[in-house]
Amino acid sequence: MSPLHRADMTSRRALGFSLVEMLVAVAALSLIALGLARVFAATGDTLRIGRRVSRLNEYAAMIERQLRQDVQAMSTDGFVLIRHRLADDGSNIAVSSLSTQSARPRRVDELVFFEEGQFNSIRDAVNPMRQAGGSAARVYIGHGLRWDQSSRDYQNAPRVDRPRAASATDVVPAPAFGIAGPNQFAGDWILLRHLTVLSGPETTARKAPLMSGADSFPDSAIQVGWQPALSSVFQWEAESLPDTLPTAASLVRGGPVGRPVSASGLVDVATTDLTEIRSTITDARAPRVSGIRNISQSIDQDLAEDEAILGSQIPGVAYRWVLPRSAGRLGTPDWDAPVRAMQAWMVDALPAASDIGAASGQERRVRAEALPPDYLGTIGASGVEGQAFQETQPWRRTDQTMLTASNFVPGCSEFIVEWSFGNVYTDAADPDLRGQIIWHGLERDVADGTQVLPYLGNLLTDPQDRAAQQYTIDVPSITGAFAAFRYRVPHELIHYAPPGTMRDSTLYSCFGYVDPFWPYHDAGGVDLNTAAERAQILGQYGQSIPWAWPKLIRITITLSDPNEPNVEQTYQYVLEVPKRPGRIKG
Amino acid sequence: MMKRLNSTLRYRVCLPGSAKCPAIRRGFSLIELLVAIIILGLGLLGLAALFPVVIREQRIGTDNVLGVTVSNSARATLTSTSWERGCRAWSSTSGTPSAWAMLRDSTNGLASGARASAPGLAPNGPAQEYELGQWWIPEITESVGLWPVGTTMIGDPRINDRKCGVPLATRIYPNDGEPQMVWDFAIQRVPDFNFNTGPDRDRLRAAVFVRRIDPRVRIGSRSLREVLLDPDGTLPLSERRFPVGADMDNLPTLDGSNGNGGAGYAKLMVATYQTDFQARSAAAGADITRLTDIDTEEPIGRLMAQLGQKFVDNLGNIYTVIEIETPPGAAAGLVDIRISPSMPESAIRITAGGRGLRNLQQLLFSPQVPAAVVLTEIDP
Repeated sequence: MSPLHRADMTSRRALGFSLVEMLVAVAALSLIALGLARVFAATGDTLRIGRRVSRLNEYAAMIERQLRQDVQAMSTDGFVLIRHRLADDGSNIAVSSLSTQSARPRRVDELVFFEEGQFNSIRDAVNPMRQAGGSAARVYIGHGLRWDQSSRDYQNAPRVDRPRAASATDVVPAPAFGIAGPNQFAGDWILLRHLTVLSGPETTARKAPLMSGADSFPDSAIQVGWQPALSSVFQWEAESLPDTLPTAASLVRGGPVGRPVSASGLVDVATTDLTEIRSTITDARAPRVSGIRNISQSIDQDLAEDEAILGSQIPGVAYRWVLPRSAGRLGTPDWDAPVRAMQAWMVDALPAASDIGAASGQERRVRAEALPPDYLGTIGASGVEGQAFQETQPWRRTDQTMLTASNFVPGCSEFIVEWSFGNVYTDAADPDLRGQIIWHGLERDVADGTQVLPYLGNLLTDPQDRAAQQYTIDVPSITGAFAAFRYRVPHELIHYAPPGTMRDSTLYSCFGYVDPFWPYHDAGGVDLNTAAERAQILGQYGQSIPWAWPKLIRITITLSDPNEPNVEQTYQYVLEVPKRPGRIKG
Repeated sequence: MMKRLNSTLRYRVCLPGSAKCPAIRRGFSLIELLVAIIILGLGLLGLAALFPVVIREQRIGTDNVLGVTVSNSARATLTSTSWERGCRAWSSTSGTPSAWAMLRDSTNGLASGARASAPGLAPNGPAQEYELGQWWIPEITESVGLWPVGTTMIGDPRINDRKCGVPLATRIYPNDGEPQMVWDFAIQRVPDFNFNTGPDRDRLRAAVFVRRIDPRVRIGSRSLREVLLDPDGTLPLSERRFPVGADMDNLPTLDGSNGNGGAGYAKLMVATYQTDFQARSAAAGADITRLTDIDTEEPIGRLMAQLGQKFVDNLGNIYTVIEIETPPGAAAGLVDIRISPSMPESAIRITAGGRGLRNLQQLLFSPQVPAAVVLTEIDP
């Protein structure tokens, strides 16, 4: 074929690329595309991770704001209780069913304190003219427990008076953290910030009707502003008081009449105030009904251990672990000794009886749901399947929303609370620790090389560091009366542990009102000698000194990403606790 | 191949306006195609170049959020810890005041001889200057000794009894998990104008700088925490890395080293008014919006002239650099920086009696642009 002829032929068609040209072009393009794809993929990954991190960070910043605000507003007229707790006694718990490598022991601590300010119930008002409010609130920060959806109780109308801590028959269909059920995986856990408004004792509650005949539901111990109310922040009192219940006709919700409990998750008002709470604790003796908390057993154990650790191991330390009620040393354990009784009452101010059944995977917490189980009432909460809530019972829908109203951090896979007196390690033999802050709580190794321990908890293993660990209060001398001395805060004042096998996984740190040990110890553990001197000290500095409070609280929160449950991010906040007024500087 | 190309070319030559050659559509040549691909590629690359910027901005945003968290925790830690009590506990000479106590307790009322012999009082200069609320930057321990490496040392470095340290482990965030941020601080005394009545307690003020841990710390088979903190105490100093590295000139290396195989810590720095920078007011009473005559050929000037850089002056104000300008006719390397908020003119106005407590003297800053800066008063 001649060239001319070929050109002729070509001229009749469009001139395209040759195969080789195409191949070169495709190769070049695909190389570029490949490179670009890599760049874009990497960028996309980075952006996705960045977006996730910044979303978590943003969320963490929100949590921090709230926590700081709460702790800053902490009332020094209240008490602080921390329950350090390893979920399911320390078994490994994964963040989701897809992520077995994330299984590890996880902490589900609880924190209770009080705030002053203006607070209102977050329940929708049944009667818009009546609003439950108060000038103080109990703040609870801790995980809630979701109920098992396959249980009948889940969809039934929730009851304000169940579950009661005192009742072994109030079985809760809420398998605890790590146990098969809705709370098995840490990624599903919900951290609550549950406020209970203290609306004042029943006697001062507003009882006057708004207009004549209009208010047929007066305030009482269990009803404020047409809302259900706890008669006390203490579980035992809320379940047993008042002795005489109001009639069904005087309650907006009618009968059957029961005493509301905070573990129900439905109630956020209590007819009490800080004064009443204070007197309950400072005047503490044993709860009126024995056996409700197994205090005596734990105290026996406490004493044996304390003596083993402190009495015999450290020469010269004669540890008196509770203040005798009569003169002289306490010979035999007295289960309603003041400090243990005070601590027992503080523990009773947790919203739910966390210790009951905790050893057998039945830990109790406030009920919390990710979504209202039956918002319309059509599934069963109205009593009749397929029928919505009636207009005459508007609180039924509010009950449903209350189950989600306190949700603070969904997907919170760990919550650790630790505290410090602000002491630093001083041991020159261990320079790596020197100058680091000593934190207290349930025993835990921290990556920075420190170990969190109960206050004075390492005396047995490391008596060297006693000087740094102990928290002393300098008491100035009075000329001619007594010499300056240092009062050492005993660990029994702070810590309390439930009996039995839970000891390794549960610890309470209690910060109450007045120190019942004062002024019987000094820093060396030597008794302040004569009664005359004691009288002088008491005369100068008062019958009591404030219960030693922490200076810092450290909160460690781990968030899991709902979109990628394998990803967890840990945040840590060091919070300053407001100083309590006192004449002697700690 | 060549043959074919030739035929195409020849054909093209004959084509224009030729009646013999009928109008035809023809494809692109390979050259054209390649040029087009290159242009496209360049365009796409340009697009891709946008992403690092986005990522950087995103990281800065994240840092800023996290920085607030860290600075809040640092503030609580500094404020509520019994530093002095700890310091006293390890002082071997009983009755020796701790470094913190010496910082806090004014000795201005003492005879000048006593003041001059008080070690640890004015490590950066004469006692008088220290009294003027100037920033005092703690030493960082860089060798293994009595103190853990990286401890921020307060006090006279020559005298162990008068030192007090805040260890690196306390200053790294978070305490648990992958280290992300580190905080550092400088101290100034806040004089209470009660000079002549003998030693009295002044308040101390700390400026806390939160910085991101260097992104390029090489860790090998170890974890970042191991390289930074050496919990076992086994790493030679040449393998240790600091969370924020800097070379001899305090220029950041971003890899935790001193740029020479060893570890170097990027300490906080102080720029001195009228030495390292100038501040002028446009008119009497007008605010100062620019710091001028900053020599970017000097390390200190280079580190000052960074967008987003933050300064704390000796009066306790925090400024942020919002613009860097080269003024017309300026000598090579000299720049101005615009700061926000602006500075009151009174800061540089000299009243009778010379420069005093109300005057601008120093700007405190960190070599790396910090994620957050806070001031807090402390009572050690």
